[in-house]
Amino acid sequence: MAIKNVLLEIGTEEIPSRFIPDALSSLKANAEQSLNASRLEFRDVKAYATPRRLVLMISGVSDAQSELVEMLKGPPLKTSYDNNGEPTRAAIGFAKGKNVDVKDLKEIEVNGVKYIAAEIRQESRTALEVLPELLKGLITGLTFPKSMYWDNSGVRFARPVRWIAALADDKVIPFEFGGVQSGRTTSGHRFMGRKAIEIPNASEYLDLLYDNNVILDQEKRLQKMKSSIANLQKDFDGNYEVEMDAKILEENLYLVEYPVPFIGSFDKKYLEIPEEVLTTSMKKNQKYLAVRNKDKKGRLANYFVGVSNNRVSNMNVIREGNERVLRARLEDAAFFWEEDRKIPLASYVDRLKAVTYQEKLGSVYDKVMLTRELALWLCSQYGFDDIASLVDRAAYLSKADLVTSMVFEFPDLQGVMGREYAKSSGENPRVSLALHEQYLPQTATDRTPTDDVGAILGIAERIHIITACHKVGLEPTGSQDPYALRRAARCINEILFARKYSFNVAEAVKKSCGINGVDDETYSRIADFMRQRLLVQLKERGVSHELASLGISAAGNVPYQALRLIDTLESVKGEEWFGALAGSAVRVRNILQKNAGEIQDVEPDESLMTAEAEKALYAEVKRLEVPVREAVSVYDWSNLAKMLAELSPVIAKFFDDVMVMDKDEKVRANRLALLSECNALMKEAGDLSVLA
Amino acid sequence: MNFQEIYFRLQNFWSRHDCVIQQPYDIEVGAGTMNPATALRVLGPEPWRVAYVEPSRRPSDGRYGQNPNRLQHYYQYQVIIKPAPANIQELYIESLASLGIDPNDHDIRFVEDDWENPSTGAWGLGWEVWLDGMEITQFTYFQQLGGLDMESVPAEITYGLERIAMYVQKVDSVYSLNWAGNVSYGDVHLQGEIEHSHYNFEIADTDMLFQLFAMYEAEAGRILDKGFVLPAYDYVLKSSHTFNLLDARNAISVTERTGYISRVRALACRCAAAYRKQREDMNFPLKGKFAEDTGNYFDADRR
Repeated sequence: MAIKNVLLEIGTEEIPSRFIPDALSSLKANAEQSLNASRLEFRDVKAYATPRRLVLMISGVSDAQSELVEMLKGPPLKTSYDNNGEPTRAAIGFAKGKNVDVKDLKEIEVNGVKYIAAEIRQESRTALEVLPELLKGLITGLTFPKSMYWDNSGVRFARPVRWIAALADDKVIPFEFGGVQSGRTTSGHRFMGRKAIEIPNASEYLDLLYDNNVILDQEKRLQKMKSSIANLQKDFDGNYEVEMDAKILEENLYLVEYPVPFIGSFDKKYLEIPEEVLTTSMKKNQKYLAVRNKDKKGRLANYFVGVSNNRVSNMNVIREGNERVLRARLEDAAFFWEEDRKIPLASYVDRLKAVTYQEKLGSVYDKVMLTRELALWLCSQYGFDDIASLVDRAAYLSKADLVTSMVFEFPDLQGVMGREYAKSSGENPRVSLALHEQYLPQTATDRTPTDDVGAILGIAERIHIITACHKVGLEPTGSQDPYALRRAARCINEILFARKYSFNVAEAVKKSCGINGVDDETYSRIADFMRQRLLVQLKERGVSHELASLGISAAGNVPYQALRLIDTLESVKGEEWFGALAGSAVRVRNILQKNAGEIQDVEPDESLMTAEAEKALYAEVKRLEVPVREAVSVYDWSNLAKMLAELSPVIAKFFDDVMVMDKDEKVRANRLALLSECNALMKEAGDLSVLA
Repeated sequence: MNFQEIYFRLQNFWSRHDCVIQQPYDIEVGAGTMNPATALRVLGPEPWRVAYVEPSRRPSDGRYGQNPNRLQHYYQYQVIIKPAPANIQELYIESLASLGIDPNDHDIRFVEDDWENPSTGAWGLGWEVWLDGMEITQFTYFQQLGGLDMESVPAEITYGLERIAMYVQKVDSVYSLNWAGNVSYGDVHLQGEIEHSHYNFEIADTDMLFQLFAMYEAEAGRILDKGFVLPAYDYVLKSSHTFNLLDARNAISVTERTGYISRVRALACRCAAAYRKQREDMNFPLKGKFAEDTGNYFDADRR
């Protein structure tokens, strides 16, 4: 008879909501792995969690471990028995080591060789014997972003473990963890359930919890939360809609054992404050869901939805308490919003002189001025003269919001407040927008700037930071990157890709080095850093190492064009001519490397060419030289590919017909010179030999 | 319930639960944790249960009496229970009930909020406790103090007295709180908030404070060299408060800040190590002076 249900409930004090999703999936995965490793068959494993419990429910567990017969390989058969068929010392020793009788040794064959072997029959223990250690191992095997000690038992967990229920149907699975002895007692909802509840049988556990107001199954709890919110929404008469923010819902899901959503409201006057300010207060601090108008604009409404963990006779008490908290926060925000706007945004810029950016790099003001210079240079260099004055203004104002009270209080709102304060100071709309968009993208999946002004400002600032930090030795090392320079480099490339800017990053860094008074050696390190980051980033986009390096060797200083070149090569990679060309590139490379000493930097002499294929190759190289370089200089990669396709058969024919290493020294040198030239031509598209 | 009634009740509650009821320390501290009744007593294996009101000074938090929620001088109610019993959360909830906050009428929640105090080399894990969405208490299991691991893990419960009072009295400004009789919190503290805000932000003599910091630091070190822990710790507190004043005056740049904090921490760590050794030399005299808990969650007094 199999065990119908094995229950493990780890009863804890409130585990941080953000830890739970990961804990759930590793608990389930670890359980399956342990059961398999222990040779216990099972039908299904389910993991559940609330803030106060992590639970495993394993159904259909076999009574005992499945049999395991192992054949352990010994010495070769021919050295195991002597001519008389008697076991040798090797065989006797092996049998003794494996604790089997020599007479019981078996034979096995591995790769055509016969060996002696010991047949070991693993003892089959009952599930009830195996489970105590197994379940305890699952508890000790859980890891959390942070864990703690709470008593002298020496064990650690996310928060203190206060009880453990462990049952195989109606039998307790006994073990001890952190001074807690497993048993059959669970605990209900902290306020709406009994404290100590006996579980007669694991199969009754879920119902017992439900009767004590714990909805254990997170899916069901989420459904309950959502349907309750949908019910509440009816009060809005179709005018408003609750914003079902998945992150906030999940946070709340693991903050409650029984969800009781409620609607709260706040004074309409606060709606004059920018939305992000309101939602930051609501979501980040209070974990409320926002409510929006059901019209097209979807503007914020003066309501919110909170999720209580307690269903009380008078929900108004909870509602009013929450409203009071939010009111205090919004009142603060409203005060800052009024105060900050008493002077125009530009008036804050001077105050940045008093804000240290970094000890060795001076004030934020200094940083702004240097960024501004670089941003203007980018405009003039890459054809954005028409918006230079807007970029200049945006750069000047770029950090002004840092010293406003709102950003001091809510640092996450930097950029958003710049935009809003710029708007209300009557700045150009594109300047206002740029003050926010300069920070985009903020995460790997975030959107990029929608307008050139913010895009150019964002690139300039990041190049400036990268340069300045390298200047004073703050570059990333190993896992340390205190100024997030790797992320800055990534953002620069993301913007260049998205905006299709053919900016030459090396040139821009060079300019930034000039502005910052950085020496050449540091410049080279920064340029290397940028190429290295581009390589990593291209590979993360799924480009092979070879192709990414090739793209970078050909056009790495212009990341957007490197990306395009890679795309072009990617599209022709499968074609026959390309494979042939890459093969030829390898031969060219090898011959040139091998005979490096003999190569002279001279124009090949046509009069020394004897073979037709040789003359043809020379003619082709001469024909393509100018157009190839031209195509490269204007990043016309498809034309480049077309020309390479033309070159491919000509080189192939050359290698078929011509012996480069001719006996005649002059002929040989001439052919090497021809190959050098050919090589230089192909290299315009990068080192193709790596793709062979 | 007036303001003083709240701490009377907490005092009675924790007194019933075997706490030594101490009084505030007589040197400025940033939080009840800094009081040696917490900062030193939590070290080593000795049991300890204490509760006290702690007037706490945070010079940078002054708002000239204009912000209804922010003060540079406010009151904490500090409880240390070492080792933490299995039902410590229940005890805490009961203590709220003693303030008339019936847990069955409210939404009381333990929301992740870890705590650290770099200038005492201390950190712990725990929660902020929400009462209908309002943070009213910081609840922490200490993990380290003065750079030393906890040998017996204490639970620290820090009630924000003003917050709780504002909730209980349903007022939106701290200054409107009724303290006792016809006297408001504003009657007692508003002028102090105004004057100290001016002092902290504008008037404090930074040259003098820098000198004092150096003198306090030197004195703490000198006392420690002579093997006396408790007077040395007083000077650590003085240097810490002096640093907070300089910080409020913006006299210390961001980078220098770390340096000052690590100087205070170095002294705090020395005090911690010296205190731990002193107690060991004394054979941990508090051992056995508090009733021990069973350790079983379900056996601990049931609701």
